[in-house]
Amino acid sequence: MSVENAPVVDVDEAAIPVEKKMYYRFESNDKKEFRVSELAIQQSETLNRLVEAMGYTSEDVENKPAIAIENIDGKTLKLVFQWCEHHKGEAIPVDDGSVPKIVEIPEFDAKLMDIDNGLLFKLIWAADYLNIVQLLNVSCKKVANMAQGKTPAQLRRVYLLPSDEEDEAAKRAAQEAQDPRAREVEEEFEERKRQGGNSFF
Amino acid sequence: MPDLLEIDERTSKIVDTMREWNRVFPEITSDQAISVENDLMLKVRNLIITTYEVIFDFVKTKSSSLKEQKHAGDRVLTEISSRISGHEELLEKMLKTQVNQHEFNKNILDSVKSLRVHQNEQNTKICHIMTRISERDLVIKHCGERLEELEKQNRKIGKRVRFSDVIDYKFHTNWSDLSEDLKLKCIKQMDFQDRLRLRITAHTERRLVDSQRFVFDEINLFHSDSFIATWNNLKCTKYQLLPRTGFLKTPEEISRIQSLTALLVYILNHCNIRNLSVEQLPGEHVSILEELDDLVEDNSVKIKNFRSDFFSQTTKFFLKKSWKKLDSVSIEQHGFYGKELIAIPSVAAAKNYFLTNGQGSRRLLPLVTNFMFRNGEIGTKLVVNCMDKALFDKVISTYCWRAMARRKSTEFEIYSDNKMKNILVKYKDGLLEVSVIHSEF
Repeated sequence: MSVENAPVVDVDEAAIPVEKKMYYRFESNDKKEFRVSELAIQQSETLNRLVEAMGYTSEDVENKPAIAIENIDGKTLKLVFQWCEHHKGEAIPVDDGSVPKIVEIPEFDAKLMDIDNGLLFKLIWAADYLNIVQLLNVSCKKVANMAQGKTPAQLRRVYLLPSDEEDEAAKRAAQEAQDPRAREVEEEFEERKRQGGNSFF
Repeated sequence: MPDLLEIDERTSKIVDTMREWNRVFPEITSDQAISVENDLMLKVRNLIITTYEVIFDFVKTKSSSLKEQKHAGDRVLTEISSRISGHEELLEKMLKTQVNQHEFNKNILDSVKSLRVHQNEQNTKICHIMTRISERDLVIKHCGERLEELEKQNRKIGKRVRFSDVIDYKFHTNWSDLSEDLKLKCIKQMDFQDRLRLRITAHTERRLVDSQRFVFDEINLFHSDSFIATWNNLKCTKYQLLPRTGFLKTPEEISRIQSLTALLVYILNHCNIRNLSVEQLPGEHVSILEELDDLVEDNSVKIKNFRSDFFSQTTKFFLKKSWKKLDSVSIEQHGFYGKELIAIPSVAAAKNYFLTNGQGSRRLLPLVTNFMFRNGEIGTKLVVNCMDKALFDKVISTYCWRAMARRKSTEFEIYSDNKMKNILVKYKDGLLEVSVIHSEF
């Protein structure tokens, strides 16, 4: 199934859900609404637990307001739900952490993640936040692949890593920023001392 | 300075006098000289007077020029003495300035000392404040953890319906803003060389890369074609020292490195190795082992299976560095002593052994004894590739009193010190196999 054909649609274009299949409604932080099948939601541990706890009926889904996901924008959420719809019904991998598994990026996922770096990192955050294990695996693999064969200087450019000078400057700025706080705490400490308190907290 | 005219006059006078003497002189020798009152004597007397006048005049002139020179010398002396007095005044002034400077320096030193004391006091104060800050940070951290815990609990019981309840969960758009947990997930997917390159980009990345041990499927050390060859997911990378000639044999396959020791130290200290195969290090590179000895702790390298063709110094070195949880030790060399092997802690604690020791296999008896009575796990094995039955016969003759059953002429079951475990000793086709089995008890 291609990315374009994935069954995630904005609410205006949505087909009326079939009675047996329940489609939940979610809303992104920029007020875009999505209908996602129950089976696709199972890919996300967080959303799955949420809808289970809510115990919505088909009527509730239609009558009650859409579930707001306020930390994810519409563009990212669309990618997430497209991925979930494409991989619905697939087993969720269990990561016991002992042996690093080889992650292959399927063709659909590769096309889905053919996006700019900013959106890719947002996708990683969203996958982590919604606890979608396999999407997190493939998106992390995509980021890892970005490092392949790159020199340290190239890596700094690709990942927008600070140079040693910038790192030092940031440290200095942090130290300077810490001074007023130290003064403030010192004053507070002295005040408490005058009041005879033993503990600072 | 005498006038030129005066000089000429004086010179002509001298010349005239000399001429007069020249003219008179021949006459003096004549008889006329005897009489005093003659004209000649008169001339001579006058000439003598003239001569004295000339000499007097000459001496007078000389004396006046000397006087002038003396005056000039006196003037120079006066000038020099006046200058010396001037210098003395200057020196005195300088001395005074130096004394003033010294006093000034002393004052500055005193101020610096007092500032230092003040600074020390400030430092103590700052330390105190930092301690307080770290205490506060700890409380904040604790609160954060508690909040996270509560959030997890909420998720588990499915109470949370509104995502808007989550505070401060922001989505960022570059690597540096990813959480360490997510960075680690990405690093986990990188291959060894990409990790090495990433760890030299920034301090945080270095710490993260080092915190996650890379697992090698196989590492071959000091084989003939490369110093280090690593295998992962069927991909082989060979490392060779940078060639002095600059000639690259197979540049696509071999990674040239500056320091073999640095790479080995990193691998041994920060990676897990499933299968390590070691060959004898060539003589000219033996110093590498000495360098490694200081940089890698004994019993620290995480190896699963160890294999070597020789029980050499190199093999002993890597066994010494290996941890005490080896799954298997495999050595294919004839004639070494079992005592030497079990003296190495990682070998003594290894689960399985696969050894070749055809000549003098009886030397392995201490190792076999250690294996049989160390209460090892059921299923663990010691296999020796022997050329004869000597070792088997030695084992049986030594422990026949423990024999529970003789299944065949070459198969015995003997009891161990653990009632739940027995030891099966068998010899077949040049292989002695000792294994720990369940007892029928």
